[in-house]
Amino acid sequence: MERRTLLRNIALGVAAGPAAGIVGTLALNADQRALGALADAPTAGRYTEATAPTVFVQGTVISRDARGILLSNRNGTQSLRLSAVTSVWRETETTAEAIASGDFLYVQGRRRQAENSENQATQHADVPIEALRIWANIGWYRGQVSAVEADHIRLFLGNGERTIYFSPITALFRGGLTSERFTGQLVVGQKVEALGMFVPGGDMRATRVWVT
Amino acid sequence: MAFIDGQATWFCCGTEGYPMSCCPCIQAPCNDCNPPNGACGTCHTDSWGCAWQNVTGYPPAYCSMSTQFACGQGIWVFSHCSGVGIQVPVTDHGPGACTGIVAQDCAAATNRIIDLTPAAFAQLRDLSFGTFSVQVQI
Repeated sequence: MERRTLLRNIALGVAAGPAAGIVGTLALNADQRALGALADAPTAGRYTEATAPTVFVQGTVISRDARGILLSNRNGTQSLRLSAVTSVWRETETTAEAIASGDFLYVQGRRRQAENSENQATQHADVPIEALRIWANIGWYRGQVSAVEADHIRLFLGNGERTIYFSPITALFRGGLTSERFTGQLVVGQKVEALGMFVPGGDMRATRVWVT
Repeated sequence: MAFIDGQATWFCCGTEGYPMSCCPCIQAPCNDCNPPNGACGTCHTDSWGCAWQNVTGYPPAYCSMSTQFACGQGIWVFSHCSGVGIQVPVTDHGPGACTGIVAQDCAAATNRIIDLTPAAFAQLRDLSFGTFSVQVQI
């Protein structure tokens, strides 16, 4: 596993096993997982309570430098600190250098304990967050194919249309686990869901497209 | 009580977001969404929440889901593959879609039973995957 990924997983506490989860979460043990669907619900005492809290914020990038990012959101502003464990999705896995002013970010991170306790009475104050995972301009479109071109489709959303662009990294799923590259195999009228990165103007470069 | 196996996806709610990404009604412009904060009026993308298919006061149930929860009621959602779970409040009514996506993970669930806000989804699975297999305690 890449060192950056390993560090991030440890920081997030989601890939190191049930005992490394997060506050407010519980984890099923191996026997409980093996029970599968419709198993008897375990009682609270059989769960493993986890530690390591994370917070989630969103906002538009209004400034940035090598060490941090300033977001604007419904609570005012939010400072993010970048570090070696920060990982970034911006259409592909990339680095924080790819984040630009105007990007809309989802951020999973962590507040320092002291800052957290100071902030208990003022939840929306701009207490810096150490960014662990950032998603830039990520979103969904769900609609009906209205046109198919060589490298994109038009999607009718119920109140308008958007263009969904395909790239060599776009994984197209047509009812199974196996993905394929887009070669124009969609047809008008199909219902489609697309996950990807919004581009200015509201269109999208898709990373995953499902025919539903 | 028991578990239901299925699949979780993520959705946005609230009035904030990148253009057209913030609304629960198939990504309509925010001012067209009714209501923008979901059926329960409490849904925010940056807070833990979920859309459940059978919410008290919001008939009909989607996808023949018989288990009903009320707005604000907590639902335990576990990642089928990692075993990690969180308890999220019901903040919206959905998802309307029942199938169509196969989760790219150990269980490959196909029936969509719950939508999570990005804040909740990200605790259990990376947003860039879009979906994952879950066990929901009912």
